[in-house]
Amino acid sequence: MIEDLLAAMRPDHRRVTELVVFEDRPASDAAGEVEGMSTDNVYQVVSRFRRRLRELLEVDTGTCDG
Amino acid sequence: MADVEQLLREFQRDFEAGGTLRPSDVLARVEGADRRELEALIDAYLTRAPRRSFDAAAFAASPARVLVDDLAEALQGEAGTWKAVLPRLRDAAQLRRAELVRRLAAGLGVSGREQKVARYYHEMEQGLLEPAGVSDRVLVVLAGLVGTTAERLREAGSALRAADESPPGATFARAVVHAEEYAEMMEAASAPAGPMEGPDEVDRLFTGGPSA
Repeated sequence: MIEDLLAAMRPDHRRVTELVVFEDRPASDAAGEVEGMSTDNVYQVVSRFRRRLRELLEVDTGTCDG
Repeated sequence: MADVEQLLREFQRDFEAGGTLRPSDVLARVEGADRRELEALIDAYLTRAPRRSFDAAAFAASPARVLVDDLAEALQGEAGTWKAVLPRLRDAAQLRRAELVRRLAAGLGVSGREQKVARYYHEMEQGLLEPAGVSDRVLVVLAGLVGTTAERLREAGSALRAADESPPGATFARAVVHAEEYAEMMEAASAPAGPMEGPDEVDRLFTGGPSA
């Protein structure tokens, strides 16, 4: 599920998500590593990724915990 | 209630430091949607984390063994079956199904019967094979390939009934993916399909019970 979600993202968004979520890097580091991204952008991208993941998990399990 | 992001960080940092924190330790600190999210994130993280070179003696005594075994344990709480556990363990071992089947057949001494082994393994991953029928030999070889123990696989299989409560849509979505991979696996199996056959060694290994 996560791999599908990442695959559907723009390459720059995918990269910053991987850096922050799976490589435990600060948003400022991720922004510095990917051209055209600000720290605020990184927070927004990661936030959207997690929101979308939750939506997919809810669909997959057929539940909604609020 | 702890934050998902904070718990993921805690787990990652402990893992990378060679610590002993288990997925179930952090999963126990969240519930509901948070737990499902954290489980998915840990699963994806472990799939991506640098692999450690395999040393059987060191593995038996190391936190890595606990970690790999606990991946199955962590999953067991939500969907503890071969259907849930086997694909994830295989992914963590970075083995495609066709390659796993080749090695499984070789390990069982039934090289040349890959197609039948593939069919049975597919049924295991789909949760369609009666766990009690699968021999210890199969589980020992399979466990060695995916980095866990035969006992863990036996335990995971025993939770089969509880697992089949996924919503139909999700089951269908997973079945599509499995069907595609199954087709690829069957194509890769080198042995030609046989005509009508009676039970053979492969049948006994997968359906003859623990001592077969």
